[in-house]
Amino acid sequence: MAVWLKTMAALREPGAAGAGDEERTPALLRLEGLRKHFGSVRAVDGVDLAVRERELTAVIGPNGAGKTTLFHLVTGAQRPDGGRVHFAGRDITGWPPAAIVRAGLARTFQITSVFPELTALENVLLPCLARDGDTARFWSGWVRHRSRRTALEILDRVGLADQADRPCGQLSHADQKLVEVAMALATGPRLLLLDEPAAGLAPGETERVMGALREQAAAGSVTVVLIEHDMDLVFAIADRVVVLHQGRILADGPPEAIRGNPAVKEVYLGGTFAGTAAGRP
Amino acid sequence: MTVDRNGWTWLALVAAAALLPLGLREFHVHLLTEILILGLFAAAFNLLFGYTGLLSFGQAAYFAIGAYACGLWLKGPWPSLPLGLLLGAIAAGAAALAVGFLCVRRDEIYFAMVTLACGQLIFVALWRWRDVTGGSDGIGGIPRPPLDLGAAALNLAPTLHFYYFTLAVAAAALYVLWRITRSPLGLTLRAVRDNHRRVDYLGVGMARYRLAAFGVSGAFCGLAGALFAPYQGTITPALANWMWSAEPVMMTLLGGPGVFAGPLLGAALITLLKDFVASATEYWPLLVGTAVVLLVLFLPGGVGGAVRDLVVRWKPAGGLAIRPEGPAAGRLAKARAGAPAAAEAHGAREEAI
Repeated sequence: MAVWLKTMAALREPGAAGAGDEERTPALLRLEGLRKHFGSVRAVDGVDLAVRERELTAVIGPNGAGKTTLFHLVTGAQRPDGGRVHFAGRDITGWPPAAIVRAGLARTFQITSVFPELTALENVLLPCLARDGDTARFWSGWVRHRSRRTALEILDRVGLADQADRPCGQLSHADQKLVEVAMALATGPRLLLLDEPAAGLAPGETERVMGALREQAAAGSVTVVLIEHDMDLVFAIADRVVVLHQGRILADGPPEAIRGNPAVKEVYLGGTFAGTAAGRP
Repeated sequence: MTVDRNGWTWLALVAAAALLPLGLREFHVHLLTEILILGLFAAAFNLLFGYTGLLSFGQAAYFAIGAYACGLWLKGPWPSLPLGLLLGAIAAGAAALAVGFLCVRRDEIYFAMVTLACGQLIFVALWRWRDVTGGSDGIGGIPRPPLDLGAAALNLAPTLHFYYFTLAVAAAALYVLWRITRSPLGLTLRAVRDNHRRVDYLGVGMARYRLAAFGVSGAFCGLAGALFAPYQGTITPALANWMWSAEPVMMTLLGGPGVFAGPLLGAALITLLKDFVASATEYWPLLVGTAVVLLVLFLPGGVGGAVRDLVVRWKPAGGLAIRPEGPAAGRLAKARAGAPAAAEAHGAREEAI
């Protein structure tokens, strides 16, 4: 446990944005008054948020706080009722999901979503082909395609090279999560939104998934925003924690500040918040 | 250009198909021609069904459009069979793109219903547009103009000659379809089949690829129909009816949607079964239906899937076996139980090449 917490802490180093950086680095993702209501439920209710490049942001909050809806609005899965989404200097509000991905904003899903009957390699190959603009090629075989080597490299980076030819549906849950991370990375994103990357994983498996992510963050210039319920994980890796409550941002700041924030403790019913951090096996 | 193992398989199969009619009576050569045409029809249907995960109940409409376009062209002032085939394929492909535009965003039963409805619409149009299509009488006396080969002309009237012409066209068309299934596009289509909600989040616009598959499938169904017009000599609106749409569905289920050759195999089995049983009893639909039900129940991967599983079991070291368990059992509900095997075969071939 202690060992992987240390590895997680290392993840913060490459992305740690000092106070001086904040003015200089422009926001990669900027949300302005983002709103989504379902009937009387205000799932996302006026969220303003700026994510700077190479920053690792964790979005936390109780169930139903609007975290996943926020991701849906940013990635084009749902249309916001109001507000704008700016990404890399462009207004991407209302863009179709595929165009948003091509602009460099990728995501993974809370419930692991892969292509179960395709092999692990084919799963990762598809976004590689899409990035190269080759998905419509119908005459050349993909077996010798240049994207194939890229896909194998990415699979290797998440430690799944030996599973490349197995159908994804036959892999373990943790491996499928890793394949999904590999798929997202294969789109060549500048910003990666991860919806509960550690959900349903044993601590050792979490370490594998997050370790792979850490390497990616260190190697490239991938900015990560993640939704996570595992507080140990959040406080170990995040540069910045955003607390969402009833569709609004309740608190936003470095982990230390959030840990001591009385309003946040209140939302998490006092003891539960501290308890999650300390009481995990 | 080197010929790899797949290339040899293709050459061997075409050679076998070329030698097959030599010892047969004319009637059976006629039957073989029909198998090729219907096999192409079913294979084109399976690009949608087995590879893209879309069950269309309206493919007969594109078959009929191909048949009518070719038939009318052959009865026109410049009868040329290659042009007629091209015209049939293009007309059917264009119609499929128009219908596809309406239905590719629908899933499962809704997709099937929209294709069925649009197919019936085309059926009614062919039936009612009497001035052009001849109404319920259809078009009769469609000629088989000789094939201009430059130095000489090949008379296509004899059954055997027309068989070879059909073989050449069907083999070329099947080869194109087969190349598509192994291409990046084929991989994309299989991904759409597996999880169509996911591909958009990898930068692949799902609807466009479904539409592409629908258009290509429609064009090849049209090509099959265009071959059918001079083959039969007479075409009627019944070719566009939903009953005719069920043919490739049955053939594909029987032959195995997860194997590329499955639909062709299914076309052969059903055509032969119909012929042999019909010569014995007038209750032949009952027997054919029973046979199909039994095969689908007990061989969920189809005959083609069963054959492939046997091959895999026999040569586990030959690079063909990655997954000995083969197609997941009990996937009949989705009716593409053999589909994973296609992925398997693809993955395996890369080692062989």
